Amino acid sequence: MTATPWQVMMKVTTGTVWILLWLFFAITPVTAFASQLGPQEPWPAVSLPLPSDPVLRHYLGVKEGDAFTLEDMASEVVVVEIFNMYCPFCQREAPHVNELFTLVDGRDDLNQRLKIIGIGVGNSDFEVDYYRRSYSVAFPLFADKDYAIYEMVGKVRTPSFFILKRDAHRRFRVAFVHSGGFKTPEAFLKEIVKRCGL
Amino acid sequence: MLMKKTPDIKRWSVVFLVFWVLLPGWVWGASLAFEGQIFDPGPLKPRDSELKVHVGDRAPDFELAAIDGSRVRLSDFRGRRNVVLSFIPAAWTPVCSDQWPGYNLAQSLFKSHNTVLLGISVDNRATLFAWTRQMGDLWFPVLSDFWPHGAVAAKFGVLRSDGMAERALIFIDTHGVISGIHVSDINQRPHLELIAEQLERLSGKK
Repeated sequence: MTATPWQVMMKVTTGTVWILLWLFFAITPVTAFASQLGPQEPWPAVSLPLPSDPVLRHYLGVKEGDAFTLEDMASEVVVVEIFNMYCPFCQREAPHVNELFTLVDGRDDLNQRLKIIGIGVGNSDFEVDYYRRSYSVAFPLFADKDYAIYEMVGKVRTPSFFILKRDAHRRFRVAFVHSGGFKTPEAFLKEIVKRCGL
Repeated sequence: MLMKKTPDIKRWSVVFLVFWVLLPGWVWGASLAFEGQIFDPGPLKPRDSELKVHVGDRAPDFELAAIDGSRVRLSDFRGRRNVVLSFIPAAWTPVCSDQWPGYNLAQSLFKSHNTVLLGISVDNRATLFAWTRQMGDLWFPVLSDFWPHGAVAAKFGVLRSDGMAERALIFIDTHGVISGIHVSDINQRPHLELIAEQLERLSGKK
């Protein structure tokens, strides 16, 4: 049976709609619908309190003021650990993150270019300080008591590590995200160096 | 040609759509692996009970079974140690699951104030065993207030109408007298400094 012009037009329209739908889903990245901050996305311009400890100020490369953003730091790459004092996984991972810090600190080719900070989500200053003292954490830790930063980065599981690298405008963007503990500090550092081109 | 190709496009589109819809679920599921084991009841009425004890009262005595089967009696600590009772609403729920791991890290805080911590839940011992295994080795006993259901929580006035307990901290000095009570919003974890302040008060440092 020969199709009428109306039937042909309907078939063409239906086919076109399906093709457009297919193309839409094919080119839309999954991360566009996920809430977690993903690769290439800019790190939110959050202000953090500048520590009073001159050693930590020196580490951050920020000498003056009461607050700073990551852009104020001198380093090319920043590893941001999202942790929670109450999270047993974070507690187990703390010695490994310390090892990562020691590894970087001992590398003259890296220690000015790569810095590590931690953000304690849902934790008060007291809790972050308790965590710091419990594990002798030498890098700066900050409290995110009201979960503001946690919300901005997409409610990631703890611990999670955002590896941030500066773009052409010197703004920090996510190079990659690592959820959970890392295999070994050496392997993780190697991955950071490779993926950030350090 | 068109009549033949359209069904193929439809079929492949359906396959792709199913894949596309399932993929994010897998990605989010992987990123929430720990939380995936936790039952989330959603926001609950912040408080649903009326206290039956007050600061200055002698704490009602009780005896409960710990996970390992041993019996723990509150009055056994009288004259020797301060006691903090940490009532939690239920095992396998979001806030409770990271409250005691935090107290696990704070062992030195309790010990430095000559204080023992007793975790209490209305769940049975089997449930508490499975749940606390995820927290590592807890240094404090976890007691089951399962049967008669929530009897100890009821004595203190922290048993909710749905059979769960409040998220409550009861501070008891070496004389067995209640020196502090904190019943939190059940949806929120109390901060550690609250405990630190109460412990300082208990040991006479504040």
